[in-house]
Amino acid sequence: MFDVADPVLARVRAIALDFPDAREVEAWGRPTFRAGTPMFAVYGVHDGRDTALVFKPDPDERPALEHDARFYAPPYHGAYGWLALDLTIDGDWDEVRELLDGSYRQVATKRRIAALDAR
Amino acid sequence: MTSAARTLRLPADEAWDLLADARNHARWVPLTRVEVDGPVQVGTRIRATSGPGARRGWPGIVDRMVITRADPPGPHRVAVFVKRGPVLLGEARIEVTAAGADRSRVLWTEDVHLAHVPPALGRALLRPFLGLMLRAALNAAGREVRATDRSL
Repeated sequence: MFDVADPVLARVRAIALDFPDAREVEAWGRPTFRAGTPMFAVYGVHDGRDTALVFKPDPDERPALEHDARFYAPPYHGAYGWLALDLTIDGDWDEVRELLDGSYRQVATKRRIAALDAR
Repeated sequence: MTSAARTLRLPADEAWDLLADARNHARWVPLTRVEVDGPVQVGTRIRATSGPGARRGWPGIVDRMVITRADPPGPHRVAVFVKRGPVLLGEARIEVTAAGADRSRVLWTEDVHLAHVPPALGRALLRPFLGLMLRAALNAAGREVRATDRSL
């Protein structure tokens, strides 16, 4: 399902695991990233888009993301309001960090968000 | 096509005023000066000059543009700048979408190629440079917004 040597996954992992108490858990044969327990990102979409990032958008930002054709509702998680973006190694990693930050804040506890804000 | 997007901590109307006014781009794009002949409206012409001494008024590579779309105030606004050479052809598009009352998402897309070079080759040559330029420009805009954030 996913390649442990995938350089795109390595970049996603480096960014995602930098959030307070973030950990990686494999689920559905995919790397997922958790804020303690709740999930804030999945790497890969179950239709062959193995280098996609699936995240939970900030509700205020969602209308803007819907105007951007690069974002799409992935199978399964899309039904719960999550969005996906296909990543490339030469892509915009600052944007990825911003999207993961927004997703983390949707699911993390207040204590963990405060820890993130305190950085 | 190359794009970059950022969320800025600014209401959409203020983000539009900052991003759609090409004069501000000169602060964020290295080695470039920008001259405009009017406000952000259809028909306004823009001339960007890039080169090692461009900011001190020296000549450089000239990029002429004209605004062909500038949306009225609203939750989603688009500005389109058509490039008319002599070096670059194609268009740049800046979209500002409200993200709640006090934030906005900016999407900046460039679909440009080089005059006198086949468009596919021109796009391929420009792509790596454009991606870096757009990201650098939006990161600089974001730093500027954070530096003047009154809510912090």
